[in-house]
Amino acid sequence: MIEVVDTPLLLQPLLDHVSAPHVGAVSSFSGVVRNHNLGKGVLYLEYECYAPMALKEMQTIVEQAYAKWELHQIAVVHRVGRIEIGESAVMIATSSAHRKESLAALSYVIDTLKATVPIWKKEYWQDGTMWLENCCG
Amino acid sequence: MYKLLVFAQLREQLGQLQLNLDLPQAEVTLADLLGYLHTHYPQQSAILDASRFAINQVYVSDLSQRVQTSDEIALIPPVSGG
Repeated sequence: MIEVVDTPLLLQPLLDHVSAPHVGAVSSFSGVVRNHNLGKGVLYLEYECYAPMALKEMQTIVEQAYAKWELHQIAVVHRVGRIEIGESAVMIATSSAHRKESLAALSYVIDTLKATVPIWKKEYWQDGTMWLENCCG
Repeated sequence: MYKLLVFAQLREQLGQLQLNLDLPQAEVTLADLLGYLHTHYPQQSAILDASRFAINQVYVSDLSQRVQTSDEIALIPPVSGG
């Protein structure tokens, strides 16, 4: 389950997707739009995506995670367009028999996604805008 | 004519999602495209240098890589997903 959508995200479908009788750990991450960044009050974010390449990069990251850890399933969904404070921009769920693998894979997938997947966000403030750049892992 | 997709601040600054780059020589590399962009959009030099190329939706860091007019070439500014 690897998707880019322009509608609000729900976690439950991801959790359902990665669940199975032999799974003992389901881990999930939701990246949420917060109301401040770099000392500025943020009104909302606007996300832009190079969709076909973003999906390919997300697929590559997921395959790398499957190769690194013994996992059952990974689900990754990124939202684009205008996203309000408190709404989720990205959701990831991973599952494995034991917790360490799903937690490690979860961290790997979000960190790598932020470094390589061609998606951009623009912050809107009261008095201006700025395209952001991920840094520092 | 080489088609180049641009995104985010580059798309806004240049006012379009796709640029058509007219390079006359027979063999064109990514370095040639970057040089063309620096010549035509000197005010964008910082973001041009911070960006990465992708050919047919795969990152290519070797600027000596040759491109074809049929390739889907993209200039990827620093990403900020998540």
